[in-house]
Amino acid sequence: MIVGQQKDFDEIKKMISGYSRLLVLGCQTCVAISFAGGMREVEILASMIRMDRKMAGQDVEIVEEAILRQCDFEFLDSVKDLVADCDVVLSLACGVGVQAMAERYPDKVILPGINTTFMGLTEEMGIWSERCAGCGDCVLDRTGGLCPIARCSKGLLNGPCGGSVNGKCEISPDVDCVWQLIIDRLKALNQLEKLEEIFPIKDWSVSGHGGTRKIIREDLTA
Amino acid sequence: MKGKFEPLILAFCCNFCPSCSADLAESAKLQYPPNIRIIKVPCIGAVGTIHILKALENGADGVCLMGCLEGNCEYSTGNFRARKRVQYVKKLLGKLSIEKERLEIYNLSAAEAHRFCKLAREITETVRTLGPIPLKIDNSKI
Amino acid sequence: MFSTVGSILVVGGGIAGIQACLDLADSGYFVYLVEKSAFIGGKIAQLDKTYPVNDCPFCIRYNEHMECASHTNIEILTLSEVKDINGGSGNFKATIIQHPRYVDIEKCTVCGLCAEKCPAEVNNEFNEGLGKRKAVYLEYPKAVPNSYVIDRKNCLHFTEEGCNICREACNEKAIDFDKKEKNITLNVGSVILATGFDSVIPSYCEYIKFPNVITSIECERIHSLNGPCGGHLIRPSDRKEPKNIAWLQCIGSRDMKHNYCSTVCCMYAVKQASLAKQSNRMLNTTIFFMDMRVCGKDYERYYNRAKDEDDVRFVRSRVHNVFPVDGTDDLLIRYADEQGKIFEEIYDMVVLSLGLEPSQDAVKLARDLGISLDKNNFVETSSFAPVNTSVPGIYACGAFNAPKDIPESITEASAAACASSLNIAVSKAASHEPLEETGQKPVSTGLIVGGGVTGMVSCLCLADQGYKAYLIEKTDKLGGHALKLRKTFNGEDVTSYVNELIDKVENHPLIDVCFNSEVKYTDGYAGNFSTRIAISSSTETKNIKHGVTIMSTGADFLRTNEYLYGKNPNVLSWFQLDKMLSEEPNIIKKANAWVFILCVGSREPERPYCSKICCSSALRNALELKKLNPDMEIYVLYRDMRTYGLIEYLYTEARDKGIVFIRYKLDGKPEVDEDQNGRLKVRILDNFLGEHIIIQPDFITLQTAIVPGNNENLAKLFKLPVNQDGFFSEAHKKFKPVEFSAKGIYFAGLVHYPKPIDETISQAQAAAAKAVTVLSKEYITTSNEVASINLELCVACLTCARICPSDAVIINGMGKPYVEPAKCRGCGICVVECPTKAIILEHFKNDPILTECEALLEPFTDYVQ
Repeated sequence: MIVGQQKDFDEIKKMISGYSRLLVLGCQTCVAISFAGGMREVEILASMIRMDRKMAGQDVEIVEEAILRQCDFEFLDSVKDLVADCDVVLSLACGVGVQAMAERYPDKVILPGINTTFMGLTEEMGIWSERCAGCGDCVLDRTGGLCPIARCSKGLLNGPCGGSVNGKCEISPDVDCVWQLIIDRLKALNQLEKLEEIFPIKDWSVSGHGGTRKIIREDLTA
Repeated sequence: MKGKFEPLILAFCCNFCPSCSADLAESAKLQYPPNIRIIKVPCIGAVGTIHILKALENGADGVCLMGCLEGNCEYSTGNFRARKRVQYVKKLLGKLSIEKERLEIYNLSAAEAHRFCKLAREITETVRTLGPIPLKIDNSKI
Repeated sequence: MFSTVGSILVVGGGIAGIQACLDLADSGYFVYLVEKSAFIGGKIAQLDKTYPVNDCPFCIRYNEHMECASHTNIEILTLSEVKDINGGSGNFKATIIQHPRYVDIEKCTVCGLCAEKCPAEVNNEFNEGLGKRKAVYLEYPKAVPNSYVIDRKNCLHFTEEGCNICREACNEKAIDFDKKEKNITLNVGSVILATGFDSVIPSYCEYIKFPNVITSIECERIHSLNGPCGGHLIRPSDRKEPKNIAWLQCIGSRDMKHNYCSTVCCMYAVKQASLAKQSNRMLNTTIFFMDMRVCGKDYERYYNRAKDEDDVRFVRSRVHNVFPVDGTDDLLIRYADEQGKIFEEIYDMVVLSLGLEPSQDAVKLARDLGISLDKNNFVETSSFAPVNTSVPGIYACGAFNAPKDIPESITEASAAACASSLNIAVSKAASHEPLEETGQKPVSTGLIVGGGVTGMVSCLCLADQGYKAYLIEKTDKLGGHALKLRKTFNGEDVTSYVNELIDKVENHPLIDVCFNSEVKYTDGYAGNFSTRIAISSSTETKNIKHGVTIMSTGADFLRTNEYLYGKNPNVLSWFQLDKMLSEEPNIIKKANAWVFILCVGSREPERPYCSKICCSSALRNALELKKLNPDMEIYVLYRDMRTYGLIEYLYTEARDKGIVFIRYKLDGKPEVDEDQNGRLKVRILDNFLGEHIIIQPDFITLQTAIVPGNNENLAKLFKLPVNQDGFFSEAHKKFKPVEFSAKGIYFAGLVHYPKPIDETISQAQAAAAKAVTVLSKEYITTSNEVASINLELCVACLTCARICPSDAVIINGMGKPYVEPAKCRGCGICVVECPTKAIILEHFKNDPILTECEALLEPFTDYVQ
């Protein structure tokens, strides 16, 4: 899932300054699960904005709403009236959702309330970590199911580098060296020979370096 | 800002021990400041960030959470959760330039009527010294 | 219509009475509770704090009082007395006299105006005469029933013609002086006597007339937060804080008139002294005692803390008199130490630790009913039927049976509920509350783990009430450690009792015994558990569906290597002696001297608890030896002689028979040696003589500690808490003596703490009574507020499943969470954490906390300085 993190309150404050009718719009899927943009966070953020404006002696009217997914145009129609009534939408969706909103409501200012951070998983309640970089060319079959692109600080395909010490990455003793993990895992799977094969130069064109990506499945299109 | 300021404080009390202490204080006719309004909750862990913020937004000058003694939570970790949450909300209050001292969490057993009163006086005094929550002052300016 | 003989009469509305009522009512029986005072609850509200947890007893029990008052299956008759009971078991006719309250309970709003206006002021007996109350009064705030009452003896309307002040003051018109005494006839199937105790100052205590000599209950009131002194410990004569206080133990216990131990006084004195000390570190507190009898669970630790951390001083001496100090209100205590040396000390205040005796009214009633009482007027019961009186159909529980502490009283109350309902099991009289049609029926089966006496008794209680019971036993036979025992402390034959039990269990059509079996896995909730059993002889496993679980896996005994045990064949354990008594009495007849060593492995730093049963078992066996061989010299080496309650009779008898008692201290343990012929020699310091003596016994019996069995494994499987000594932890040490915090799982017997067979059996019956409250329900009950998930908003983020403290959230096959209502305890934690706000507590449409929060603050939102 997509993991996000709410923007610093000061940044949000600056973004919305001058607007007095706000729609704080949450997204109830990925970013809700990472406690950044669900209804729970919408209410908290709205309350903070109201208090802040009250202290500054400024009026503000906030509508709090959340929809299942901001990344699908069909869902966006349900807030049509709310959007029409406000000056600005503060979207707590990921970057995809914010853009979908902007595309669906071209006349409205849509502001991002969160930073879309990575694709990852919940390690445990309150802890999330990155797992995938969306490179467009998966190599997990050869690396014991651990991704060196998302999880190696250097994105090395033929690791580890000289900075791997006692299984930790040189950038921080808190970060595991994913290449160490890959070796351990392959060893456990009895597949160490996979490491003897050198990764050829990776084709980064499919990772977005070749321009915005788009997928078309002819069999599914109208 | 004239006249004597009397703060309004919302106390979330866990239904187990702290509410018992509060009831005991009442039935023993022990004095605690009338500034304290008590809301009983099933577990102090059930008090969310939003509840604390809404209390302040709606006119409370201070908020306190009263949970059971650590290790005595009926639901094992509700009071730890609440303690962490209070730390988090204090950070949020910092962002809003609202004094963090307006929010406090205490742990109480069931028979501490006197301590309940003492803590009630303590937070009332703290908040009285801080003055009304900035939300109100500015309201009056408009 | 239902037959009235299906109902039960409970006499006495104290702690035990209320418990018995609730257990019966929850199992679907209709109960009449007859209480002679105007309020139920008994003495609990007078107590300051309870040991060993130091929490407020009334706070914790208040819910039970309210429940008792509002239960549709309970009718409370206050100000009532039982005049007579006729008929026989299963069909009694009880005549009750109910005195008028003069205040209408329905109308009284407890505004207090009547008392404010009432001109008649009298001593407040709730505060033991410290302070005043009016003739119209409420015993204490939150008393149940929550309504004022007029005390006819002191009311001026009755004593002096015509005072009507309170009646005129009452806005609700609740007062009616014309109410008359009522005669009520009840038709009941069983009767439970839960009449409790009185604390009477014995006549030899003339010094009670000095103002600063107070009773233990007065001390509780003075120290209580809601007492007349607001929790400040002050002495009565000048209301000054005392600087040194003495507690005198065994007042009205262990004397010529009361030759029993009152069981609770040691602990409450330790509690009062250490609490006093905690509130004022400068205070000196001294307890004068004979033996420190702190044998309950965690009591020894509490005592050690009082001694080591709170610096309470303990002096082993019985004080016979207290003298006034001329010109002051102080008191002089003269006492002799163990060597007979005389000391004099001056105290500001003296507290008398009063003993317990059966309530006089109860004794009269019991005599009228033909119930056998012992020489001290306690109800005569058998160890094997601890709540049955000599009259079939009439049961007794609590302090009327023997002086006992709150947990044992509550246990007995539940046991009495079990026994009395077995008596009338066929004809339940209660009306069922209308329930919603939606609901799951509980599985009407019990699973009992452990086939000792405890497990068998619980099993039979369930099966005799018509529930199927599975008994899981890890060995190939039933009976457990009781098979090694010969006699109870009363001298009843254990062996034949156990054999009879085994026979009944094995032949009961509703009991399924699984031998050589072990629990491998268990899951579920009250009313619907599922457990997998493995049988050691085969690879097969067996799945059992059951509604309740009772843990009765017992305990073990310590394998010691002290005192030449295992090296010299004449050093025996208690069960080896039991065996010798039955099989080889001739050896005993030839022995000249015998030594018993007590506290082997108990009350030591690594095992700081008392094994509770060793003193009585040693004395019972010592007396048996004396009977076989009256010339034998018998020495009992002990640390404190803990013959609590009626077991004191044994101690008296043993001393009469010439058995010698020598006390030793932990740092001066007896030394046991043998010469090259294996002849034993014991060297011990005699405190009385002040020098070492040497005994050459033929045999030594060691009273080894009771240690927990393999509870940790079971604890993990069943997710149950274990205390630091390795015994299971109950939901509340004082008030929930057979329950775990998890619903539907109960325990009984030594798995909880060492205890003698009578207490084990009453616990087994109590656990069964609790189990029936679950099994007898038409639907599995859930707590009032249960979380429910709106699946339209739910995105299956799993937050609720991750954080639920009750393990109530289950992820179903569709990947969506579901809250199991029987497991949810309504804490509301998931409600605030749910990132999509998809969870609500049922019965609340909106966020209840938020609504209340806004409502409370609403009047203030526009408030401007």
